[in-house]
Amino acid sequence: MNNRKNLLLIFIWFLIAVAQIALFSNLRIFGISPNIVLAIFSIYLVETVQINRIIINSLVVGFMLDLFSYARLGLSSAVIIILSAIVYLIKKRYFNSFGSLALIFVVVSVDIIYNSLSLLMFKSTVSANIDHLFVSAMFATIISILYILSVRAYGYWQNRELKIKR
Amino acid sequence: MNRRTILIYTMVVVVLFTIPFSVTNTIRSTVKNAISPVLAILYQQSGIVRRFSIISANINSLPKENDQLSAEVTRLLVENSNLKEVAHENELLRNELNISGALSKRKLVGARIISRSAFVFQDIITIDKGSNDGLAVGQPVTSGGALMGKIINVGKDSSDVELITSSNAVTQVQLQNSRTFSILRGGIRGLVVEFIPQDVAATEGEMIITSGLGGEMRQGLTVGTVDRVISQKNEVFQRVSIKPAANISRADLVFIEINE
Repeated sequence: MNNRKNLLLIFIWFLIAVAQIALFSNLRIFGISPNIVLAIFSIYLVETVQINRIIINSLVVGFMLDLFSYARLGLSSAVIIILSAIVYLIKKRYFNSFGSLALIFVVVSVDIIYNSLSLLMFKSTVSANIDHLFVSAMFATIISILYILSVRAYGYWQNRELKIKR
Repeated sequence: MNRRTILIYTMVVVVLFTIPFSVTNTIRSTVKNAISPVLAILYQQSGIVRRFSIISANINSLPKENDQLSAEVTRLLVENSNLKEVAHENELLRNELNISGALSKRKLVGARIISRSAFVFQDIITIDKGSNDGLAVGQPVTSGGALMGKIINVGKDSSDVELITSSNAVTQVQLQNSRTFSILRGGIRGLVVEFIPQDVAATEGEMIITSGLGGEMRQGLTVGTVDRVISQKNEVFQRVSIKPAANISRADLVFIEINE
C-alpha cells in the first residue's frame, strides 16, 4: 500500500512538473513565471508530519526540477532535502502545526532561498535579478493564499453538509 | 529517521550528482520525446494563461506601442522597396559578371515550442523537432527572421534551444554600419555586445547581425539593435547593450536554418 502511495505521489509530481514547463511557464509577469512545483511542494512540506515521506518527496521533486531544466541531476534534490529538513526541524521544535501565516511564510521563504541558491549556482540570465526574486515570492504568496482559502472553503462546505445531515 | 535511511538518501543524491552530463541529456531527451505530444497539446492550450500575462504586462503601454509599430511598418515598407531595387540591381550585375549564386542554399524547418525550462531563471526552451527532421547541435534558431538562440541538445523528436539571453550563450556578431566584429553575451546586465574598439562609433538603433565567425551560424542573421553604450570612456573596449529583434519571451513558432 505504501509503495503504491509513493508511486502515485511520484506520478502526481511528474504531472505537476509537466504542467509547470508546458503551461505555467507561459504565465510571465516581469519575465518571471511561477514555480508551481516548488510552491505546491512547500505546502505539502508544511502539511506533512512524517519525515520519511517528506524526504522521499523532496528527492522526487528535486529530480523532476532538474530533469525538466538544464541542471545537473541531484542539485535541486540536495537543496530541497536540506530545506525540507530545516523546515521539519523548526516545525518539530517550535510548533505543533503551522497556522496560515506560518504556512505563507514557509512557502515564500523556501521559494526565495531556492531561487537565490539557483541563481548563484547557474548564474543568472537576462530575466533574472533581485527584483524578480520578489516577483517569484509574490507568486508563492498568491498560491499559498489560494491553498488556504480552498482549505477553508472545503471545511465550510463539509460543516454545512454535516449540519444538513443532522 | 535512522542513520541508515539518511545514508541511503545521501547515496542516492551523490549517485544522481555523479551521472555525466551527456547521460543526463540522453535521459532528458528520452523523457521529452516520450511526452512531447502531451507537452505540445498543453503548450497550445496555454493561450489563456499567456494572454493574461501579456495583458497584465502591457495594458498601459499598448496605445504607445501601436503608434510605434505603425511608424515602424511604414519605415520598413520603404526600406523593403529600396532593398528590392538593390536585389534586382545585384542580380543584373551578377549576370553581367557571370557570377553564379555563391551563397549555399538553406532550408527553414518550422518548429513549435513545447516547453520552457522548469527552472524559472533559465533561458532554455524545448521544440518539437529533432534529429529526424535534420536538426543538429549548433544550428541557429530564429523567430520572425531574427536570431533567438541555438540548438544545444538534440533528441529524435525534440531539441533543446539555448536562447541568446542565457548567461552561458556567446554569439559572434558584427555591427552592421561599421562592420566591426564583436561578441554578444546574455546575462544579468541584459544582452551586451563586448570588445568593440573605442574608436568605433556605435550609434543607437544600429543593427547587430551575426558575423559568421566560428562557423556555427551564417553571416547576416539579424540579432537586434544598439540600445546604448554602457562602458566608460577609460575602458579598453566599448560595451553596448542591445534590444533583441526577436520577441523571445512570447514566440510560439521558431525556425531552424539547415544547410541543404
